[in-house]
Order: sequence, then C-alpha cells, then structure tokens
Amino acid sequence: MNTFEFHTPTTLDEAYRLLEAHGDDANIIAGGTGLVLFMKQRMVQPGHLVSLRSIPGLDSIRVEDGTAHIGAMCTMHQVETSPQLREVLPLLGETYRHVASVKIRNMATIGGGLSHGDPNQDPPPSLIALGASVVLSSGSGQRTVPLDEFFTDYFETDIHDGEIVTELEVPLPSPSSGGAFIKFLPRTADDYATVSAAAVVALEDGGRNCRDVRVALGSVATTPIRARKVEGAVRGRELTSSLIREASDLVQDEVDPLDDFRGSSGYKRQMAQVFARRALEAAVANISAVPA
Amino acid sequence: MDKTIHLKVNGQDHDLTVPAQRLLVDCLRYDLGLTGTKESCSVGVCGACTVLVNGKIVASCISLAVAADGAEITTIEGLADDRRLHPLQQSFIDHGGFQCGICTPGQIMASKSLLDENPDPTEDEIKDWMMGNLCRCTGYYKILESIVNGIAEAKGSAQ
Amino acid sequence: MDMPRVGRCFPGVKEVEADGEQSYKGTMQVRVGPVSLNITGNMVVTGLDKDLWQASMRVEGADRRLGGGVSGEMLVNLVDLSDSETEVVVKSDISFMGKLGELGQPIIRKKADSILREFADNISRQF
Repeated sequence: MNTFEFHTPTTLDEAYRLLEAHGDDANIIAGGTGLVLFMKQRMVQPGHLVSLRSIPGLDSIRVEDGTAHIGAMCTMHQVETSPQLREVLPLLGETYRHVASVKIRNMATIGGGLSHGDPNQDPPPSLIALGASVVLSSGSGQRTVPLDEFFTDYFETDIHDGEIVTELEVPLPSPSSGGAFIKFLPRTADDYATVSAAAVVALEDGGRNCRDVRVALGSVATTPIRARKVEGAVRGRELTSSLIREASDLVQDEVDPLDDFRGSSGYKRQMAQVFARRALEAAVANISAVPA
Repeated sequence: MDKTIHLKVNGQDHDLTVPAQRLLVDCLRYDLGLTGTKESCSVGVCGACTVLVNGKIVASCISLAVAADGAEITTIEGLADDRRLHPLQQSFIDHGGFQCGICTPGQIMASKSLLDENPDPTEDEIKDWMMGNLCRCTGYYKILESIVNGIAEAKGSAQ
Repeated sequence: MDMPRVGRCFPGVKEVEADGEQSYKGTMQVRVGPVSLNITGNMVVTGLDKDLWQASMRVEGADRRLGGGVSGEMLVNLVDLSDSETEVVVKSDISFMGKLGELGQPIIRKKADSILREFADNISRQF
C-alpha cells in the first residue's frame, strides 16, 4: 500500500474543508472494506484519507413521519439486527444479512457500501425496490438523490466532489404490501451474487390489483438497475402467476450483464429473468394483509 | 506518514507510532508480537485474521491500524483466563477442531463473538455465523462439534 | 488534419500539442471503475491517404503513479454518405496494461464503447 495522511475530522465541516483542500488526492474512508482492498491492490493510491468514524451522529437510526432515517456510518450488521428496523422494514435486515460474512458486516457501513458503487452488491436492489434515497451533504448544503438515479456507471455514482453520503432515507411500505430479495449464489455463501433481484409490491386498497411495484436487480449491468418494463407490465393488474411470468421475460431487454467468473453474459441474462420472477412471486407471497 | 495511536489489547494499554498504511494484523503481529492472529487470504474472506475490535469481530487484514485508534482489541492471546483456557479453546482441543491450526485463532474468536451476541445458538445459527471462517483441513464437522460443545460448556460454567 | 481539435473531442483528453511533424503529445484522464488514471503519452501519425480519406496512427501512453497504460494502433476513415453526412469509421487495436488491464476485458470493452460514442457525439457537434 502507498503511504498517505490519515485524517480524523470530528465535524462534517472539518471533513468538507479537508476534501476541498486535497481534492482528487483525497478519498473518504468509512468502514474501509472496499477502499482498503483497492489500496492493497494499488488500484487507488490516495495521498489523504478522510475518515468519517470520529464524526458523531452519523450512525443513528430513527423512524419518523413514515420514513426510516439511517445514518450513513451505521454498520451493515447494525442495520441487519436493528429491532426497530426489523419491525417496519423487514426487507432491510433480510437483505443486509446476505452481505459477505459477519466480520465484514461489522466493518462495512451502509453509506460506504453505496458510495463504493459496486454493481454486484446486495443492498442496492432492495433499496431501489423500496424507493430509498441517499442524502448527500457538502459545504454548500444538502441534496437528496433517489437510489435509482444514484449509480451512474461501473463503480461510479452521482456523488460530486466534496460531497459525503450522510444518510439513507427509506420510506416505510404501505399496508398490504410485500417485499423480497433473492440472491443467486452458485459458488459460496459469502460470495457476490451471480444475479440478485428484489421486488416490492403494494396492492390497491381492499383490492387484488397491483397499485405500485418496483423491481430492481444487481450483478446484471455496470450498475444496479431498476426493471421498469417489468414493473409497467404488472402495474394496475392482478398479479397472477402467468402475468408475473410474462412480465419477468421483459427483464432480458433491460439488463446488460458483464461476463465474469460468476457466469457469462448470456447466462446471467437468463438468470435475471428467472430471479426477477422469483422475487416478484416471493414479494406477493409476503404481502401482509391480503383481502379475503 | 506516521501516526501515534493508542490501543488497548487484551487489557493492556499501548501507545504506538505506526505508518498510516500499517494493517491491524501486522500491527498486532509485528509491533506487539502477538503472532497468534494469522494472516491467510489477505482480502477479508478467509477469517484467519479475525479479532475483536470493541467487542465485534473484524478482518484485521483489511483494517488500518490507525482506524482502530482508541479501540479495545481482543486477540486469541487474550481469551485464556490466567492459565485456564477459555471453554471454546478447550473444546477445540477436546474435539479435534483443528489440524494445521492456521485458521483456529480466527475460528475461536468468531465463535467467541457468537457466544457474546447469542449465548444459545442453534446449529444453523452457528453455521451461518461461522460462514466467514474457512478451514482447508478438518472438513468443518469437528469445528462445528467443538463450537457446539464449547458453547454448552461456557453456558454451564457461567451458571 | 487538425489533431489538437480532433483529439480534444476524445472524452478525458486534456491537452494535445504538436511535438514534431506528424507527432503529438498529450494527456488524458481515464476512469474505469475504481481506477482513475492520468495518462501522458504521444501519438504518431503513421500514414495519411488523402484520396482514401484515411489516417493511421500509433498511440502510446502511461500513468506513472498507478502503473498502467495503453498502446496500440488506430485507423480512421472518412466515408462520404451524402452532401451533408460523413461517416467516421474508427478501427482500433489497443492494449491495456497494468491497473487498467487488471480490470478485465468485459468492462474495458464497455468503457471503450462509451468513450467512442461520446467521441462521435463531440465530433458531430464540433464540425
């Protein structure tokens, strides 16, 4: 690893000043599970690391006004095991518990994971399906970016120079809705997915038709993707198994997988369709209050 | 660039000046001489370098020592109580939970942290928790047996 | 051919200047995934055929700090489609070395496609 200066600002303002002073030569470090690996491989060689771990208040979880506000420095294990989140957003714990292994989830933070921009990660599909947004803070203010617009390219995100991911906002799902995350793991249990898929469906009040739906996939392109064609095919209609099957086929036009040792592009394209279907079926099965 | 950090390792305070890029595993092994912690895969996958930082297991091979400044760290050397082995350590010996031994400190630290968070785990919960600790000799059955019995023993001695 | 002007249509190219007859030097910033390189290098025009509207060139560049670079041949061909349209055909055979190479071919191919697409957009805006 190259040498660098390790900064431990104790306020966000101090962190913004450091980022401004060192520009391209600075990297933000949260849990470090992604960045330290890149540094060990000499893919990234920053002259300055700005650590967020001494800034108080970035690891709180609060639920208010129908939204869960999760501090960016919460570890993945913290989100996975939070009783408060398990109550209102069970899909979060179900998703984060699939990330790597316990020791990694103790280190990796939710904000760091999203900033990393790796298209193979588990959380983005579920977070996109839940309609989550990230709060980006900088010296000149804050902005909120929906996660389905946040990932711009392979390991690239919409984070501008000087911005820090400070919070994740997840709207609480409406009653009579259900969600699911499925990870296709043909190799080992702690691996990245060959393909992953998440779906959240909500039914019309007292009805059987799908009022709202979001389907998102990971490991199928240079970014996590939202499967809008699949969503469009089921929205407003009754979620029968034949409709779900038909709609899931459309995902093949929405994905553009990379060949790698987890599968060829063509194979992942087929699996995307299979797992989009299974995620939708599981989401429907998880709907809490199905009208009689 | 060097930085001075404070670590409390196995109950002992240390002030150390380390290069910023010093990994926690190297700091423990070379700066403090605690060679019980092993490094194997070097990419946070195999679990050999598992130690407790503020009570939570981490992969010390991808942790920066400077990022652990102020932390309390427990390594395999800190588990025995005076000269009495921790029930998990004893159980690994009694049930043949290791052959070459490289993965063993990590296996024991990870199972110790499971015991701390969930004193009465099911066998499936143990498997799920231990998924990040690889062994290339025993085939896992004896490791599982060691953990199941070690946890039962620890529970018994706590009562 | 106005190389500096064409060169700057390449996304990431920061400077291009003549370095002798038919030889140019420049810098280019390339980001592929986590790897961000500042490549310094040169380009030599190895052949120009005005009748065929064809130019061939050899490019070579490296990033000193991270250790990575590119080298290869490019062939650019202009084809008259109509009075108001010209097709620019670019054939390139580029080797990626060091840190860029480690990322693997599938992602490099996608990035190369997107760079060429942006280059084509910039060219049509400029000329």
